[in-house]
Amino acid sequence: MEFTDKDIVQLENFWKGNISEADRLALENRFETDLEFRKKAGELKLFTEGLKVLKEREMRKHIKDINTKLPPFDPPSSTNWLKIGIVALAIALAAFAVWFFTIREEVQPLSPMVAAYFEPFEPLGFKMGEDSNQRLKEALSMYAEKKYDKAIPLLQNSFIETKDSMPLFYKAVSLLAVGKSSEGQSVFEQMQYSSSYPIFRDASQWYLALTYVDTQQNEKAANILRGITKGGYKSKADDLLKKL
Amino acid sequence: MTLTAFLEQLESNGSKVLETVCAESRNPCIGWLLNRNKTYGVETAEDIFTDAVLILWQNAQQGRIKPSDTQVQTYLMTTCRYIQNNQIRKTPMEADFDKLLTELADQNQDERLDKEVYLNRLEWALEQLKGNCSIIIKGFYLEEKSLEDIAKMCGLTYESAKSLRFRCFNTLKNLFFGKK
Repeated sequence: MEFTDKDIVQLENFWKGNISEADRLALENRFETDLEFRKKAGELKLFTEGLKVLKEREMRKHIKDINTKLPPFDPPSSTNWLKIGIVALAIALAAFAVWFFTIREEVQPLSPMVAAYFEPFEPLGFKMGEDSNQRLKEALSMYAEKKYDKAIPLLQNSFIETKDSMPLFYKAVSLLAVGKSSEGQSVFEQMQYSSSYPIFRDASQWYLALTYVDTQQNEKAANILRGITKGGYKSKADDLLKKL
Repeated sequence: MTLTAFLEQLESNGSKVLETVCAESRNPCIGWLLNRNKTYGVETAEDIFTDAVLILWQNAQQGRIKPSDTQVQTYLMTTCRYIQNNQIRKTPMEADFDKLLTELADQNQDERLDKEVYLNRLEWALEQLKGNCSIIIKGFYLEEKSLEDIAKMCGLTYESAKSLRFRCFNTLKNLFFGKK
């Protein structure tokens, strides 16, 4: 038996589900009763489905060809970790270079003349016992141990917390001790007039002079030193003045 | 690329858009698959990705994908996950065809036909068709184009294309079954 064109259209519509209810029932009934028709219909379906599989395979091959033309997938491997390591090392070296040539410049050792005269101010606050708060105690403890890098941020925080000029003064001395004369200078410039503690006002003048010497502003230093006419710093001031 | 853009470009330049999709999504999808299943090799992951792109293409052709702002890459990763979770190693048409071969063998109490032999013969028969016959059969059955579109492509009237479709289909069947 051969299918007519009408049979083919009807079967194709049946498989697509694009058929009226009456036609569907009629076809299903024919499948039940006409085994030859059912077998031929099965063969026709296999044939048309086979064509679709061929298309699918062709398309799959096409997609595979597209992927083949792309650069091969590079899975993370030891080679990649090596690359990452080299990049990390390069970044670390670059950061070190930046620090060495820029930031580090600000942390030069004190000039020999200043170093000869510089002595850290006695940590009075450290002896204040219960009168000082815990943060200030810890900060002055660091200062007393000459751990200035650790003391500086603690003193800064203590100043923010208490608004007291004492931690600010010790911070400025610490800055001078680690060679950050310019930073210390601006603090001493304020404190020589405004500190609520006279002892810090006098000391601020002395340390301010040292920062001027360290930053090669000898004229400014000399003016300050001439103003120290009494107190514990007078003899040192006179001595330094002679050397400028 | 969003699904909306994909569907628009598929309409105008199907092959090019598939190249773009593969270039954008291949490495992220393969990396994701390898990360998800440590037993996979790159080749297996590439196969799954290829199947996912094929399913994307088929679903788009059959109107099963709606335009949306969803990224094609997300769609592909979801499909990859589906393939991976269900251990599917056959594409939809192949799976249907396998099922049909088994059903027919059971129904007719025959030996199951060899799939590859069947498909190789069908491919050979298809290659024997020339001219409009080849365009009509491939256009109608493989590319699922409408007869109206095929008629325009061949410069035929709709009725001529319809008549030719049946004639060419019978030619193909006769070639396949070895009838003159």
